[in-house]
Amino acid sequence: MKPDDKTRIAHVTRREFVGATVLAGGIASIPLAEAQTDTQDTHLVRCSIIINNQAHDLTLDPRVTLLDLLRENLHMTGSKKGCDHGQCGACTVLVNGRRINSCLSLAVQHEGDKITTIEGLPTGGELHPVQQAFIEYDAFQCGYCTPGQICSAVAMIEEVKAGDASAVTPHVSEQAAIQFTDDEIRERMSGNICRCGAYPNIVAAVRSVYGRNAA
Amino acid sequence: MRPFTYHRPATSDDAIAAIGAEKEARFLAGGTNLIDLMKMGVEHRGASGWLADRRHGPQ
Repeated sequence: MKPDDKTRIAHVTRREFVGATVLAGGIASIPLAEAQTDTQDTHLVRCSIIINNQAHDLTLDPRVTLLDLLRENLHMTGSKKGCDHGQCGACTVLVNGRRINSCLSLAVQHEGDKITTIEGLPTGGELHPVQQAFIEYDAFQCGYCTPGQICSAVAMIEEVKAGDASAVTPHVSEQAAIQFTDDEIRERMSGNICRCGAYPNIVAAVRSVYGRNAA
Repeated sequence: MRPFTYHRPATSDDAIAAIGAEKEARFLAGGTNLIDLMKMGVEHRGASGWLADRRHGPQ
């Protein structure tokens, strides 16, 4: 490799490199993909989904998950694919305000739904309070699980305000206001795994947002 | 995931008809289990497999 080649490669971002590599691989496999379409008569489904306040009219293979639609078709790569099996929570997005694992949901199921991803949380150039708290409390290390953690926390706080009990909520029958304890936060955020182990700061960040809202 | 046919039945009768017409058909609700099992090839609808979405029909 010539020195100037090396210099040029250094300026290619990781995302550009991966994108170019995948594209090259995709071109190589196009004849195969066409052959499959011919023989299997894949039927496509039309659906309209509102993603971050923007309407999308789509024609999709019904096998496409909501996560793949966001990442691969619409290039909104904020939502992450960790396990792709609903175990890690990195793909968490909000559907009509409720949190779901987007990897376990077919995109075509969401006809007419309002999806909010991490890209849609800021308003008017201001970060969402949960996003701001994650920065203030240093609630991440590598950051891969963070979009899912934040989307999950946003919906979770609403669940607590609405009085939804969790497995650790005491005296459910008394219907008293739910105490926003660290146990509650940990239980309710247990669907979002962080391999770096940033949990103490995640709990602190979420606690701070709830305190701010309640005050 | 293997190909399947996706239905969005408008009424309960449509849903029952769609499920009844195909041996391998399944009702799709939230998807948490079914879609995971389909990805793993445990639930494998053949090329003629049907999936009837119950989120948008009458409850």
